Amino acid sequence: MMMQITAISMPTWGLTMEEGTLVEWLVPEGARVAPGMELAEIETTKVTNMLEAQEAGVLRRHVVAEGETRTCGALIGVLADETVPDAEVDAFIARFAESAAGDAALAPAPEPRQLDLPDGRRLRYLRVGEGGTAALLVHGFGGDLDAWQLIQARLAVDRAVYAIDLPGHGESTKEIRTGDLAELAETVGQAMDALGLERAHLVGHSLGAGTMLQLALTHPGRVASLALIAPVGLAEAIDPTFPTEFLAATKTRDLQRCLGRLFADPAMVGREFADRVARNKRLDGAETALSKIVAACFPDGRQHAVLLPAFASWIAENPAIPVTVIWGEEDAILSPDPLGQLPASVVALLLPGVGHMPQLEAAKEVNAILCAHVGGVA
Amino acid sequence: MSKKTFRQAINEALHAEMQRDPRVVVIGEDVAGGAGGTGVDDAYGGVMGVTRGLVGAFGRERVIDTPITESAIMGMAAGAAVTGLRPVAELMFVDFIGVCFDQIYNQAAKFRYMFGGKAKTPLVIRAMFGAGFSAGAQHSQCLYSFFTHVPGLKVVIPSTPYDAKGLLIEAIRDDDPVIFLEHTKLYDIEGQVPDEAYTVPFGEASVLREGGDVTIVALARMVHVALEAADRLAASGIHATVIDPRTTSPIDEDTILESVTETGRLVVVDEANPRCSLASEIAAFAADKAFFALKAPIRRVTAPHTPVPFAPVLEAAYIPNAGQVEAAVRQLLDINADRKR
Repeated sequence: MMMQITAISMPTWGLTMEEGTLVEWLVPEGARVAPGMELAEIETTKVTNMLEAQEAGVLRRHVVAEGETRTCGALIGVLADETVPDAEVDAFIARFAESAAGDAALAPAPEPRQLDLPDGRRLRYLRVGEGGTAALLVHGFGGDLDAWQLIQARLAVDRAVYAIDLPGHGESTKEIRTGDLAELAETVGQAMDALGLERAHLVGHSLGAGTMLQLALTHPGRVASLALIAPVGLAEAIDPTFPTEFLAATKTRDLQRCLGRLFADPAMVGREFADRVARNKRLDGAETALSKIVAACFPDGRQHAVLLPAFASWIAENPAIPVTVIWGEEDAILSPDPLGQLPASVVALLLPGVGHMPQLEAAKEVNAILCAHVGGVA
Repeated sequence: MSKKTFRQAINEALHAEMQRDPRVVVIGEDVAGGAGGTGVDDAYGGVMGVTRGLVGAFGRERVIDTPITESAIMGMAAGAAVTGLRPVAELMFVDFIGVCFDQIYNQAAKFRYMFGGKAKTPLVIRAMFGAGFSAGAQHSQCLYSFFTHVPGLKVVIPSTPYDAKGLLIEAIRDDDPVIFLEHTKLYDIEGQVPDEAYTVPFGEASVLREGGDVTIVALARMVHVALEAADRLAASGIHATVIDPRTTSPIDEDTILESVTETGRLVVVDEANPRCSLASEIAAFAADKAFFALKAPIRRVTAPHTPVPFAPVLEAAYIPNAGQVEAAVRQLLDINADRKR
């Protein structure tokens, strides 16, 4: 019988991560691990996150010591059963080092691409994984598809997962007519057509969640399931100073301060994170497009669309479509109050100690919730 | 977004702005590849290939080849700017500034002030600079302190392809005279550059690396030297912040002072001659405004006060290198160690 040895590699989180630092091993050598167990804390220039075991086994070796930095894909640990002799583990590490030296791109990271819409506009998207019922991820205001850096690969284990940049955002078109939820939802629908997705798991965050909600309300047939994270579009209340400060910030340092408000722990926003957002915002046309969205979606310091009643009816009419709503208890931008007003059939989860960005601040929990959410659907 | 060279980044910025705004014109020697000659037009795209394709896309009216008369180029460009065009004038080597400096520092730089704000001078002057090609003492200097000294001029010195494109677009859209300096040794470096047009604001330093032990401030090619030194230092557990001011007028004092307040140590790396240099200016405002945060003296790593040597061995010794930066940082840390004993 072949004895199974599994490499634990430095993960690639997001488009720009090239290396990570192993801050702390959370499992000692010789300990047994189960899938989903946290193995180590990894720090990148943007975030600190937990690396989880994908498989069961014994953590035989810490190849990288705490405090050391490795490029993405590099071997950092070895997982194998007790029965595998030490010599074989050593041989595995040696072979890995040799093959890695010759083949730097062990698992080439998927590259974002451009998608042509019928009206000539283009959207950027990133696909990870294949097959299954696809999932579609849409980020929030001012963000881009990198918002899903800690989520997309996990969901893509057993399906194709697409993340797109909304118009006005990331490297997508800056052409926007009015910028309201209806227009954004129509554009996401066009993107689904262009990607050949009749139906998908729709996952959205904030403005992207409002967009997905709007799309679901008008096109229930396209929805395999609906997951909304800190969604826009349920209630009037919003902290109106966030979008205005975001638009007004021209320097990266001001943007960094502004983005800090999205997190329960503002220290989550490093300079590089802010710089990336600033770069998107400085593309020609981006500010005009974002201003239109703010004017259409958040006029007079309130949310324009209050879709909670329509959503409740929709849920009653579509009982077979699973719906999950996730909110951070410390969300300073959109209050989680609407969570308590959702029908009982909705999986409504309030995450403690988390702000407006659960998918970055509580990635492990959000991954577990989303995997369970999409898992029940064929 | 894709990988592009510094040269391509500048070329894209010129293309984008000429496309967007018909008032943008390019003026200089060989920018159209030799007008009126018998050879192929735009054969190389300027001496460094930076203006390639412009004459084909925008024609002779907007891509204007000139005789070898820098004073005429700058006089023409300054005049065109006050009458409503947005010229991008190329000086080729910054070393040639001597023959046309009046048009720049005493004319273009003064118009807005002396005409009580009624005249705008949306002029960009591009020039290459820097040592490393054995181009000799008259084609290798870093003269940015000349321009930085003059009120009314803005001075831009990019170190990466991304910054080069965004800063040049910002410069062309700016209503004041902007000196845009390109280090000859950077034209072939590559980096991620969006295909679309974008701007990088003036007066905002770029923080390329963050570390708590020392602040290293560097410009243009020296940014890469500083990063190399920071890599070496990190291997022995010394963590450096590396800051590129990107523009020397306006200059982002805040970012530098904030970092120095955190680290308590400052090394300024400058390829220019040291007297009255940017290195001296940055050291001066740090000493003035962050004195009580300093744990050690400020160090400047610069070229010596000599012309740039032609001989490759001497030229290599003239240009500040990562070893010197590393040594300067270690010396500052040793000073603290000594004082504790």
